[in-house]
Amino acid sequence: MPRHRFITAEEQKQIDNLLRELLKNSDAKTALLLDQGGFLMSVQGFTEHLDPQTIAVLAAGAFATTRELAKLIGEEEFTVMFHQGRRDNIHLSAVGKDALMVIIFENTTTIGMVRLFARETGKKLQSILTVINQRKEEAPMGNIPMQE
Amino acid sequence: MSTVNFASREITCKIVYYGPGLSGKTTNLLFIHKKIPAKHRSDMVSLATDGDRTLFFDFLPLVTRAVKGFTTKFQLYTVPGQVFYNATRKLVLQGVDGIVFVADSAWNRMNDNHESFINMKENLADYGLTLEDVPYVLQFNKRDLPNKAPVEYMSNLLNREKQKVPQFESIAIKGTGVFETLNSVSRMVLVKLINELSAKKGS
Repeated sequence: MPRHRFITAEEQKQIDNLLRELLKNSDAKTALLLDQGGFLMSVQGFTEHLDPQTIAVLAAGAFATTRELAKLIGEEEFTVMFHQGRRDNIHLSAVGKDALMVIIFENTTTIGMVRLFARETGKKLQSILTVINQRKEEAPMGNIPMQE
Repeated sequence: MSTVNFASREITCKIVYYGPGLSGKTTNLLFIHKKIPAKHRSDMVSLATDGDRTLFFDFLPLVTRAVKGFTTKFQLYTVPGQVFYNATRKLVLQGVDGIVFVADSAWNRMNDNHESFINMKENLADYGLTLEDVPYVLQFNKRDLPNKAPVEYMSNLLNREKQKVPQFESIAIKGTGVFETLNSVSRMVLVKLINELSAKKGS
Protein backbone atom coordinates (compact mmCIF):
# COMPACT_ATOMS: atom_id res chain seq x y z
CA MET A 1 0.00 0.00 0.00
CA PRO A 2 1.41 3.47 -0.83
CA ARG A 3 2.34 5.77 2.07
CA HIS A 4 0.33 8.65 0.60
CA ARG A 5 -2.79 8.82 -1.49
CA PHE A 6 -3.53 11.54 -4.02
CA ILE A 7 -7.03 12.20 -5.31
CA THR A 8 -7.31 14.51 -8.32
CA ALA A 9 -10.22 16.88 -8.85
CA GLU A 10 -11.42 14.74 -11.76
CA GLU A 11 -11.38 11.53 -9.72
CA GLN A 12 -13.23 13.25 -6.90
CA LYS A 13 -15.88 14.38 -9.37
CA GLN A 14 -16.30 10.86 -10.73
CA ILE A 15 -16.66 9.42 -7.22
CA ASP A 16 -19.18 12.09 -6.21
CA ASN A 17 -21.22 11.50 -9.36
CA LEU A 18 -21.33 7.74 -8.85
CA LEU A 19 -22.63 8.16 -5.31
CA ARG A 20 -25.24 10.68 -6.46
CA GLU A 21 -26.37 8.29 -9.18
CA LEU A 22 -26.63 5.50 -6.61
CA LEU A 23 -28.84 7.65 -4.39
CA LYS A 24 -31.09 8.53 -7.30
CA ASN A 25 -31.47 4.92 -8.45
CA SER A 26 -31.91 3.31 -5.05
CA ASP A 27 -33.92 6.09 -3.44
CA ALA A 28 -31.54 6.03 -0.47
CA LYS A 29 -30.86 9.10 1.65
CA THR A 30 -27.09 9.45 2.09
CA ALA A 31 -24.03 7.70 0.70
CA LEU A 32 -20.44 7.83 1.93
CA LEU A 33 -17.22 6.44 0.54
CA LEU A 34 -14.37 5.92 2.98
CA ASP A 35 -11.21 3.94 3.28
CA GLN A 36 -10.90 1.11 5.76
CA GLY A 37 -9.09 3.44 8.16
CA GLY A 38 -12.16 5.71 8.33
CA PHE A 39 -10.91 8.48 6.04
CA LEU A 40 -13.89 10.04 4.29
CA MET A 41 -13.50 10.36 0.53
CA SER A 42 -16.99 11.51 -0.39
CA VAL A 43 -20.37 12.14 1.14
CA GLN A 44 -23.48 12.76 -0.95
CA GLY A 45 -27.18 13.26 -0.30
CA PHE A 46 -28.89 14.34 2.87
CA THR A 47 -26.39 15.36 5.55
CA GLU A 48 -28.33 17.74 7.78
CA HIS A 49 -27.95 16.74 11.45
CA LEU A 50 -25.41 14.12 10.40
CA ASP A 51 -21.70 14.10 11.23
CA PRO A 52 -20.28 12.26 8.20
CA GLN A 53 -16.70 12.12 9.51
CA THR A 54 -17.76 10.44 12.73
CA ILE A 55 -20.07 8.07 10.85
CA ALA A 56 -17.12 7.16 8.62
CA VAL A 57 -14.78 6.46 11.54
CA LEU A 58 -17.33 4.38 13.42
CA ALA A 59 -18.36 2.47 10.28
CA ALA A 60 -14.71 1.65 9.58
CA GLY A 61 -14.36 0.48 13.18
CA ALA A 62 -17.48 -1.68 12.93
CA PHE A 63 -16.27 -3.17 9.67
CA ALA A 64 -12.83 -3.89 11.08
CA THR A 65 -14.44 -5.63 14.03
CA THR A 66 -16.54 -7.87 11.81
CA ARG A 67 -13.45 -8.71 9.74
CA GLU A 68 -11.84 -10.08 12.88
CA LEU A 69 -15.05 -11.94 13.68
CA ALA A 70 -15.04 -13.40 10.17
CA LYS A 71 -11.50 -14.66 10.63
CA LEU A 72 -12.52 -16.40 13.85
CA ILE A 73 -15.02 -18.51 11.94
CA GLY A 74 -12.69 -19.14 9.02
CA GLU A 75 -13.97 -16.46 6.60
CA GLU A 76 -11.65 -13.87 5.08
CA GLU A 77 -14.15 -11.07 5.70
CA PHE A 78 -17.84 -10.25 5.57
CA THR A 79 -18.32 -8.01 2.57
CA VAL A 80 -21.72 -6.62 3.54
CA MET A 81 -23.18 -5.42 6.83
CA PHE A 82 -26.69 -4.21 7.49
CA HIS A 83 -28.00 -2.30 10.51
CA GLN A 84 -31.76 -2.06 10.75
CA GLY A 85 -33.41 0.78 12.65
CA ARG A 86 -37.02 1.79 13.18
CA ARG A 87 -36.92 4.34 10.38
CA ASP A 88 -33.33 4.61 9.14
CA ASN A 89 -31.07 1.77 8.15
CA ILE A 90 -27.40 1.50 7.27
CA HIS A 91 -25.92 -0.69 4.56
CA LEU A 92 -22.15 -1.13 4.64
CA SER A 93 -20.26 -2.83 1.87
CA ALA A 94 -16.63 -3.38 1.02
CA VAL A 95 -15.35 -1.71 -2.15
CA GLY A 96 -12.31 -3.72 -3.13
CA LYS A 97 -9.72 -4.33 -0.44
CA ASP A 98 -9.25 -0.79 0.85
CA ALA A 99 -12.57 1.06 0.82
CA LEU A 100 -16.07 0.94 2.23
CA MET A 101 -19.37 2.36 1.12
CA VAL A 102 -21.98 3.40 3.66
CA ILE A 103 -25.55 3.91 2.49
CA ILE A 104 -28.18 5.34 4.82
CA PHE A 105 -31.75 4.73 3.73
CA GLU A 106 -35.26 5.00 5.08
CA ASN A 107 -38.01 2.41 4.92
CA THR A 108 -39.36 4.09 1.78
CA THR A 109 -36.97 1.93 -0.23
CA THR A 110 -35.92 -1.69 0.24
CA ILE A 111 -32.71 -3.41 1.26
CA GLY A 112 -32.86 -5.31 -2.04
CA MET A 113 -32.79 -2.14 -4.11
CA VAL A 114 -29.97 -0.70 -2.04
CA ARG A 115 -27.96 -3.89 -2.27
CA LEU A 116 -28.44 -4.14 -6.04
CA PHE A 117 -27.23 -0.61 -6.77
CA ALA A 118 -24.52 -0.77 -4.09
CA ARG A 119 -23.01 -3.74 -5.89
CA GLU A 120 -23.09 -1.97 -9.26
CA THR A 121 -21.69 1.29 -7.92
CA GLY A 122 -19.07 -0.58 -5.90
CA LYS A 123 -17.60 -2.10 -9.06
CA LYS A 124 -17.35 1.28 -10.76
CA LEU A 125 -15.83 2.90 -7.69
CA GLN A 126 -13.34 0.10 -7.40
CA SER A 127 -11.88 0.84 -10.82
CA ILE A 128 -11.35 4.52 -9.87
CA LEU A 129 -9.82 3.55 -6.53
CA THR A 130 -7.45 1.13 -8.23
CA VAL A 131 -6.07 4.01 -10.30
CA ILE A 132 -5.72 6.16 -7.15
CA ASN A 133 -4.05 3.42 -5.13
CA GLN A 134 -1.64 2.44 -7.89
CA ARG A 135 -0.53 6.01 -8.50
CA LYS A 136 3.15 6.47 -7.76
CA GLU A 137 3.83 8.57 -4.71
CA GLU A 138 4.14 11.81 -6.55
CA ALA A 139 1.83 14.77 -6.24
CA PRO A 140 0.04 15.08 -9.59
CA MET A 141 -0.09 18.87 -9.33
CA GLY A 142 3.27 20.04 -8.00
CA ASN A 143 4.69 20.22 -4.53
CA ILE A 144 2.80 21.32 -1.48
CA PRO A 145 4.54 24.32 0.06
CA MET A 146 4.76 24.51 3.86
CA GLN A 147 3.32 27.57 5.52
CA GLU A 148 6.04 30.04 6.56
CA MET B 1 -1.50 6.89 5.12
CA SER B 2 -1.88 10.61 4.52
CA THR B 3 -4.35 11.61 1.84
CA VAL B 4 -3.99 14.67 -0.37
CA ASN B 5 -7.22 15.71 -2.04
CA PHE B 6 -6.72 18.19 -4.85
CA ALA B 7 -10.44 18.80 -5.32
CA SER B 8 -11.14 19.98 -1.78
CA ARG B 9 -7.47 20.99 -1.26
CA GLU B 10 -7.23 18.99 1.91
CA ILE B 11 -4.45 16.95 3.47
CA THR B 12 -5.50 14.39 6.06
CA CYS B 13 -3.09 12.69 8.45
CA LYS B 14 -3.66 10.17 11.20
CA ILE B 15 -1.92 10.47 14.55
CA VAL B 16 -2.24 7.68 17.10
CA TYR B 17 -1.67 8.02 20.85
CA TYR B 18 -0.19 4.71 21.97
CA GLY B 19 0.94 3.49 25.38
CA PRO B 20 0.04 1.24 28.31
CA GLY B 21 -3.36 1.29 30.01
CA LEU B 22 -4.07 4.32 32.22
CA SER B 23 -1.00 6.24 31.01
CA GLY B 24 -3.12 9.24 29.96
CA LYS B 25 -3.78 8.87 26.23
CA THR B 26 -7.46 9.78 26.45
CA THR B 27 -6.62 12.56 28.92
CA ASN B 28 -4.38 14.13 26.26
CA LEU B 29 -7.23 14.13 23.74
CA LEU B 30 -9.73 15.46 26.27
CA PHE B 31 -7.47 18.40 27.05
CA ILE B 32 -6.91 19.15 23.36
CA HIS B 33 -10.67 18.94 22.78
CA LYS B 34 -11.30 21.35 25.66
CA LYS B 35 -8.76 23.93 24.54
CA ILE B 36 -9.18 24.02 20.78
CA PRO B 37 -11.96 26.34 19.55
CA ALA B 38 -14.98 24.49 18.19
CA LYS B 39 -14.43 25.83 14.64
CA HIS B 40 -11.11 23.95 14.49
CA ARG B 41 -12.38 20.62 15.75
CA SER B 42 -15.39 18.33 15.73
CA ASP B 43 -16.85 16.46 18.64
CA MET B 44 -14.71 13.81 20.26
CA VAL B 45 -15.88 10.23 19.93
CA SER B 46 -15.06 7.85 22.75
CA LEU B 47 -15.79 4.15 22.62
CA ALA B 48 -15.29 3.43 26.30
CA THR B 49 -16.51 0.97 28.92
CA ASP B 50 -18.72 2.00 31.83
CA GLY B 51 -15.57 2.52 33.87
CA ASP B 52 -14.29 5.05 31.33
CA ARG B 53 -11.58 2.72 30.06
CA THR B 54 -11.08 2.98 26.31
CA LEU B 55 -12.71 -0.03 24.66
CA PHE B 56 -11.93 0.57 21.00
CA PHE B 57 -10.60 4.08 20.42
CA ASP B 58 -11.11 7.77 20.99
CA PHE B 59 -11.27 9.96 17.92
CA LEU B 60 -10.78 13.72 17.63
CA PRO B 61 -10.52 15.48 14.25
CA LEU B 62 -8.66 18.82 14.10
CA VAL B 63 -8.42 21.32 11.28
CA THR B 64 -5.41 23.60 10.76
CA ARG B 65 -3.80 25.66 8.01
CA ALA B 66 -0.29 24.29 8.36
CA VAL B 67 0.29 23.87 4.64
CA LYS B 68 -0.15 26.81 2.30
CA GLY B 69 -3.21 26.51 0.09
CA PHE B 70 -4.39 23.32 1.82
CA THR B 71 -6.62 22.68 4.77
CA THR B 72 -4.72 20.24 6.96
CA LYS B 73 -6.77 17.79 8.95
CA PHE B 74 -5.28 15.77 11.75
CA GLN B 75 -7.25 12.82 12.97
CA LEU B 76 -6.20 11.96 16.51
CA TYR B 77 -6.86 8.45 17.77
CA THR B 78 -6.05 6.67 20.99
CA VAL B 79 -5.71 2.92 21.36
CA PRO B 80 -7.03 0.87 24.28
CA GLY B 81 -3.97 0.35 26.46
CA GLN B 82 -5.03 -2.79 28.28
CA VAL B 83 -2.96 -5.77 27.23
CA PHE B 84 -5.86 -8.00 26.12
CA TYR B 85 -7.17 -5.47 23.56
CA ASN B 86 -4.35 -6.04 21.11
CA ALA B 87 -6.60 -6.86 18.15
CA THR B 88 -8.28 -3.46 18.38
CA ARG B 89 -4.96 -1.70 19.01
CA LYS B 90 -3.67 -3.14 15.78
CA LEU B 91 -6.75 -2.02 13.87
CA VAL B 92 -6.38 1.56 15.05
CA LEU B 93 -2.75 1.62 13.85
CA GLN B 94 -3.86 0.92 10.29
CA GLY B 95 -2.81 3.82 8.03
CA VAL B 96 -0.98 5.67 10.83
CA ASP B 97 1.13 8.72 9.90
CA GLY B 98 2.50 9.67 13.30
CA ILE B 99 2.57 8.30 16.85
CA VAL B 100 2.67 9.80 20.32
CA PHE B 101 3.85 7.18 22.78
CA VAL B 102 2.41 8.14 26.18
CA ALA B 103 4.42 6.54 28.99
CA ASP B 104 3.41 6.49 32.64
CA SER B 105 6.10 8.02 34.86
CA ALA B 106 5.28 5.90 37.93
CA TRP B 107 8.21 3.64 38.88
CA ASN B 108 5.96 0.60 39.07
CA ARG B 109 4.75 1.13 35.46
CA MET B 110 8.15 0.90 33.77
CA ASN B 111 7.62 -2.72 32.73
CA ASP B 112 4.21 -1.82 31.29
CA ASN B 113 5.75 1.07 29.34
CA HIS B 114 8.43 -1.16 27.94
CA GLU B 115 6.01 -3.96 27.03
CA SER B 116 3.67 -1.53 25.33
CA PHE B 117 6.54 -0.05 23.31
CA ILE B 118 7.60 -3.52 22.14
CA ASN B 119 3.96 -4.31 21.36
CA MET B 120 3.74 -1.14 19.25
CA LYS B 121 6.77 -2.19 17.23
CA GLU B 122 5.27 -5.65 16.70
CA ASN B 123 1.94 -4.25 15.59
CA LEU B 124 3.62 -1.82 13.20
CA ALA B 125 5.63 -4.71 11.78
CA ASP B 126 2.36 -6.45 10.92
CA TYR B 127 1.67 -3.52 8.57
CA GLY B 128 5.19 -3.73 7.15
CA LEU B 129 6.30 -0.65 9.10
CA THR B 130 9.17 0.10 11.46
CA LEU B 131 9.76 3.07 13.74
CA GLU B 132 12.03 4.47 11.05
CA ASP B 133 9.01 4.76 8.74
CA VAL B 134 6.64 6.49 11.14
CA PRO B 135 7.45 9.80 12.87
CA TYR B 136 6.90 9.48 16.61
CA VAL B 137 7.54 11.32 19.85
CA LEU B 138 7.62 10.19 23.47
CA GLN B 139 5.60 11.76 26.23
CA PHE B 140 6.53 11.01 29.84
CA ASN B 141 3.22 11.68 31.54
CA LYS B 142 2.25 12.15 35.18
CA ARG B 143 5.40 14.07 36.10
CA ASP B 144 3.56 15.31 39.20
CA LEU B 145 3.64 11.85 40.79
CA PRO B 146 5.75 11.56 43.95
CA ASN B 147 7.08 8.14 42.91
CA LYS B 148 8.11 9.13 39.39
CA ALA B 149 11.06 7.62 37.56
CA PRO B 150 13.80 10.05 36.47
CA VAL B 151 13.54 11.32 32.90
CA GLU B 152 17.02 9.92 32.15
CA TYR B 153 15.86 6.45 33.17
CA MET B 154 12.73 6.62 31.03
CA SER B 155 14.73 7.98 28.15
CA ASN B 156 17.19 5.07 28.43
CA LEU B 157 14.29 2.66 28.53
CA LEU B 158 12.22 4.02 25.63
CA ASN B 159 14.32 6.39 23.54
CA ARG B 160 16.92 3.85 22.50
CA GLU B 161 16.26 3.40 18.80
CA LYS B 162 19.01 4.37 16.35
CA GLN B 163 17.32 7.70 15.74
CA LYS B 164 16.61 9.55 19.00
CA VAL B 165 13.21 11.23 19.01
CA PRO B 166 11.79 14.28 20.81
CA GLN B 167 10.57 13.52 24.32
CA PHE B 168 8.26 15.62 26.46
CA GLU B 169 7.45 15.71 30.15
CA SER B 170 3.78 16.19 30.80
CA ILE B 171 0.98 16.37 33.32
CA ALA B 172 -1.81 15.73 30.83
CA ILE B 173 -4.60 16.19 33.33
CA LYS B 174 -3.46 19.81 33.82
CA GLY B 175 -2.51 20.23 30.18
CA THR B 176 1.22 20.61 30.82
CA GLY B 177 3.17 19.39 27.80
CA VAL B 178 0.08 18.28 25.87
CA PHE B 179 0.28 20.82 23.05
CA GLU B 180 4.09 20.72 22.91
CA THR B 181 3.76 17.00 22.19
CA LEU B 182 1.03 17.43 19.59
CA ASN B 183 2.79 20.30 17.82
CA SER B 184 6.00 18.32 17.62
CA VAL B 185 4.49 15.16 16.15
CA SER B 186 2.23 17.01 13.71
CA ARG B 187 5.18 19.04 12.45
CA MET B 188 7.23 15.86 12.01
CA VAL B 189 4.40 14.23 10.05
CA LEU B 190 4.04 17.21 7.72
CA VAL B 191 7.78 17.66 7.22
CA LYS B 192 8.05 13.97 6.30
CA LEU B 193 5.18 14.28 3.84
CA ILE B 194 6.65 17.38 2.18
CA ASN B 195 10.15 15.87 2.08
CA GLU B 196 8.89 12.68 0.48
CA LEU B 197 6.99 14.64 -2.14
CA SER B 198 10.00 16.88 -2.84
CA ALA B 199 12.33 13.87 -3.10
CA LYS B 200 10.01 12.24 -5.62
CA LYS B 201 9.86 15.45 -7.64
CA GLY B 202 13.62 15.83 -7.59
CA SER B 203 14.38 12.26 -8.61
